[in-house]
Amino acid sequence: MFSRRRPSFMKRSIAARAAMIPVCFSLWMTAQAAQPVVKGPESVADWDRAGQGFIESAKRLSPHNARAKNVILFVGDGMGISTVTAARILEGQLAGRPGEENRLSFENMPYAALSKTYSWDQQTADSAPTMTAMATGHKAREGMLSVDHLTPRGECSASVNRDHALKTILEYAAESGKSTGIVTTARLTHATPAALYAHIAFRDWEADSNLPELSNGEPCRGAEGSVKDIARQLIEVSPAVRRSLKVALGGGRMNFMPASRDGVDGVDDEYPKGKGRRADGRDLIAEWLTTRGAGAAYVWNRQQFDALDTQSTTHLLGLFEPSHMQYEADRAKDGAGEPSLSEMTAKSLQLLQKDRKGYFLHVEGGRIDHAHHAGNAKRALIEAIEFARAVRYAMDHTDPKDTLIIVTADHSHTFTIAGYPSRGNDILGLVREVPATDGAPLAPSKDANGLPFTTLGYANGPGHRGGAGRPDLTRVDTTGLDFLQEAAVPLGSETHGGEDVAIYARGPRAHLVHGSMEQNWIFHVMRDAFGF
Amino acid sequence: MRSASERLRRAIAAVAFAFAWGGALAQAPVGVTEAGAGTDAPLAAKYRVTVIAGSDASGSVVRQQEWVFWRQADTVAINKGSTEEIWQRDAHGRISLQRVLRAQRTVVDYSAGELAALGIEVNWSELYRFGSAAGTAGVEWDDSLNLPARFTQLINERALVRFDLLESRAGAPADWDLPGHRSAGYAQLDAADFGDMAYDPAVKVAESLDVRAGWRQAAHRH
Repeated sequence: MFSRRRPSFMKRSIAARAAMIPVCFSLWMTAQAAQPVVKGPESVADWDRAGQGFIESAKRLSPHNARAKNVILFVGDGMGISTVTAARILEGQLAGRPGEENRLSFENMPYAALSKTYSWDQQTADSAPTMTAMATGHKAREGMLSVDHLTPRGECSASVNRDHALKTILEYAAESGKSTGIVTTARLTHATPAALYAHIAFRDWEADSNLPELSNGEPCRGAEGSVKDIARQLIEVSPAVRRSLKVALGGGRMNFMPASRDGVDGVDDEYPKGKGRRADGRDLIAEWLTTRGAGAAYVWNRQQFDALDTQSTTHLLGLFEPSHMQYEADRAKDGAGEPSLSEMTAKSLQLLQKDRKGYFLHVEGGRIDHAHHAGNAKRALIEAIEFARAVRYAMDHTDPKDTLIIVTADHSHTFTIAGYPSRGNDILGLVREVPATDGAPLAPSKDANGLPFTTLGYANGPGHRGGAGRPDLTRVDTTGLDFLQEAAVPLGSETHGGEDVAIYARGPRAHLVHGSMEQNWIFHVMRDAFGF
Repeated sequence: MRSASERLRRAIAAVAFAFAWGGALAQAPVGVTEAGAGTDAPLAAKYRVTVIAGSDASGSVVRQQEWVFWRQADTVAINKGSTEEIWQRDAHGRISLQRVLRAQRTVVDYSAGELAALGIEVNWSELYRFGSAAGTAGVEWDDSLNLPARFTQLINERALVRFDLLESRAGAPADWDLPGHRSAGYAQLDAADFGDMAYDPAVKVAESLDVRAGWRQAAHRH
């Protein structure tokens, strides 16, 4: 436990140690006068006080066994534990504090557990089977959405997909008469949100144009009896889900728009050179409006979103970008303007809380994952902070007596926090250790070749600097928004990580979230809380 | 600080990347170049691209192609035969890219945010003029067109490539194979999804082109 630093001291000869005695005495004298350069804000008594407070709070905990009227499932896509830690520190540092002592909103929830994210056929999984596990209670196959693990890969038959379909927590809630909602910063047809309403053997079949002409040797795209694409499944859901799904907010507009209709290109409102992706010529946005009643509304920009009357609106579809929504860090630059994840969460709750029978809401921070894939830690952490802000809104505007909130991730990334940075060291900066002598200035730690390095990094990805070895980051602003952290293995895109992710919970039956859990058990907690 | 000669070398390399290796004038900032004496009028230009020595991506020793450069007020597009790049600048100055992969019948969208997340900065001025005239040794600059007329460049220390301006026309010549005109029915991908699509052949090709352009390996940032 004490072996981490300066092992060379342990190897010095007795003679060398003897020679150092006067030097050490001198340093000791200096230490009496000098103050630590790095100081936390805590007093000695603070540690005891905080620890006792935690114990008293824990003693007051008791299982809340009532049924949940409402369940909210927050999923930070790719928000592994290292991402939570780094986002916590960054949020604290942005508020002018050292950062380490900060807590993201959901870290104040009383119950937590670890989630094992492997899928039926993957050690390190993608978002499709991981969200399927949480949505249906079943671990599934790579790339498949809410169909069981016996489903053949590339299965295009609608009837086969239907035979293997797994009912989702959203569908259970809809059938029980509750309202439901889906909010994401990714495309609404992307794997995580889609697992709640779509049943399909391949996550990439988001629009009909994505289906192959042939799959497993059989006609697929446009063929009679072929599975409906994901966008179409969102519009043509069961009657219960059609009544129930009151809110669907996110990106992915192009998957709902025709490439052309009656010989006219399906031109995007925000980007005139953008076109729809539907080869079948259907305008699914118009179909959604006509099939959801007079109180249905569709919005695609900030102004429309802000102007929406939640009292008169019964069903809301919001599609704010042709593909994924903007990164939170870039959102202010969007021409048409778009809401943040926390603003979408707020609007959704305002709509869903009108239902006295209760609701199920899923909120995904979808772009943490994308920024990590790009090897861009700052964008990923800003996404995670905004995700925590959305959770805070939900915590502040729901009653823990009747609303179960679960916060988790679908999988992790290869993101690391390393070195021995001192307390309060810029989480995006170069590692600077606590000086060996009090009063000595902080200086960047050096690698074996004398070069400084950052606290944050990736095991693989686009941040790899090949060729002549590591770069000299001495004069590089590693805190810049576009800086790519170094990666050990060169890959065009950084990959997911296979270690466990965290689950946090508050509200009825939240105590069922405990210990080491299989990811699919999250579904069982939600179903038990609802009493289905 | 990077020296002036280093900045110049990188500027020239960026031009060469744009032609020969699937990249574009989207590298580390190399400084905005002042316009030449001519105008920046919309035009289309044909270049002959000749691999003089060494090997290109496909391994050939000597190869010659005709590529088409086409610029409009808010669009710069390059048809390189098997691939195309279509760069667009919106009213807010945000620049996005579509990479067209003809063999895969796929268009890959790189939003402005995704380009930024990958650490790619785009110099629209140089993109629009296909390079820089500013004191670039060995480059013959056509001041009337604000385009390079001829230059030779060693690419990736593997291939010596020469670029010759063959012809230019105002506007959009109907009989030219302009970029973006053949991809209407192609599948579309978002580059943000590459991390979840390593199995896709189009993703492999696009990532390979990205890496050759100096993207996705961060080395261009330092």
